[in-house]
Amino acid sequence: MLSKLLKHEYRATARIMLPIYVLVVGAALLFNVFMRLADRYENVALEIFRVTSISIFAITLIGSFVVTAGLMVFRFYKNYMTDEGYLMFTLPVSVPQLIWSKLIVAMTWTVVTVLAAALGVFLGCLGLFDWNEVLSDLSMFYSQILGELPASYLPLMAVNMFVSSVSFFLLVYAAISLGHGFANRKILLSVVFFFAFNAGVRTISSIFSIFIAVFSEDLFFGDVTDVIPSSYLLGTQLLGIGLNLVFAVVFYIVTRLLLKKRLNLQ
Amino acid sequence: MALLECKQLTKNYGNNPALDHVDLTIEPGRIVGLLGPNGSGKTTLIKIANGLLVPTSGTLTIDGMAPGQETKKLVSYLPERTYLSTWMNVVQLLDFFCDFYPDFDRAAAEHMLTALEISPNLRIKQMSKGTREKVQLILVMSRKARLYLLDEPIGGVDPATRDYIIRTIISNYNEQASVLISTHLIADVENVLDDVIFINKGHVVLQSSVDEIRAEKNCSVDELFREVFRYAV
Repeated sequence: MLSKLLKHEYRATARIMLPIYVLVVGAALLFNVFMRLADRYENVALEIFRVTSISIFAITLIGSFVVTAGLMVFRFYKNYMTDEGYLMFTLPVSVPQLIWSKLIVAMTWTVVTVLAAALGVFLGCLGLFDWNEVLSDLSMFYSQILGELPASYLPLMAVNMFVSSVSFFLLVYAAISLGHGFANRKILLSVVFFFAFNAGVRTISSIFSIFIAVFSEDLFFGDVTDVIPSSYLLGTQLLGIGLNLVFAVVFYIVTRLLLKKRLNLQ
Repeated sequence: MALLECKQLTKNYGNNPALDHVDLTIEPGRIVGLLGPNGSGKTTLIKIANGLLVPTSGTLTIDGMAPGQETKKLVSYLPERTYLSTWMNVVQLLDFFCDFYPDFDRAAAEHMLTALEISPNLRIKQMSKGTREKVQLILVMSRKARLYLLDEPIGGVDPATRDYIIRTIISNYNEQASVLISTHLIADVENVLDDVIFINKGHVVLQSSVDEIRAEKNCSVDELFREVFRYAV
């Protein structure tokens, strides 16, 4: 039954997400064309178009992430907490399947949005810069700030971003489920719980970060250099992954319990 | 075995009891009217039977099982509000019901849609409130379920549609299945009911067959209802 929930959830979200990706690619191509034209011909009108296309491109890129997160949260609310919940919660499916279907779809679109944004940047900049130069500048920049990056740093960072997205969506699901268990002011309470959960998560993360800094000896007791030690860099990423996994599990259990025991559709 | 059984079923909202130690049973093959004034606990009872609310105490079982994934396969539920996603069209809704309910009879649904002149390509968004209710009822009645729980199924539609719906309800269910209809429009459904349950302020005040009421009290269900629930002037 999970596969059927997924199928219908992809259908419900694709009708909004796919046009967003078309917009990202379109804005990238627009940007690319006006950059080239304005470079080639000195013209005030083209310069205005170039500046405009830069803003459109930037807004589209940022907007695609905002829409992805917003739509995934809205789907959970609309499909489960409003009148549509009367259908979804009387389907012969389990509560875990209902949660997983929303989470898997949310994570799929999040990853696709990252890829679409990367494709957008690639298309937007295609032929405009000397990539070898940009890359060497970038690696210079990194090595100056971060020292020699351990090979495992970037993959760990990607995993951390993925896990923290999972934990973010589950946090929102838990806040919405808790807020909607009350008889009145359901949306207001959901927002309040969202900020409260976030504050809790931040506080716990900060406390652990301090531990990492203290125990990462090079930082405080080693030679004083202007690069950040790699043990600290790796430590923070590993800590982030571990903590986000714990948060995700906690919010999943909370959501599951609330939807099972305290569902209170209006 | 009873198809639906409540034992000492109690549901409190805060300190207010919506259902107070309710005992009742529904046998297979019956059309039962759940009748009571507004706020008497009808919807609460039906929501518990669908697993949308958890009882404060007592039990409700469907075919011997507490409401859950298994009982949802047996129950076809019509809530008192429209739950259809407004971006979907009728064909997409039929796909949805086919996917999740193996007992969904698509041909029967299409036949009813044609009879009520509802275009399959119409989006829910484009429909009037009455048409949405018709579509929802068609979807619910096109399942070959064991138990139909219909919460105010005829409240928002015109009398002609009301007649069609009631005929649909009688013709669609089989001998093993039961139908529970919650309503206060008693005169409209009286003729199709086998049994009635009167419910008031969370208490079952009467559970009887319609034949018994006619024979013993010598009046119609509608008349009896007005008498039982008469307000002091």
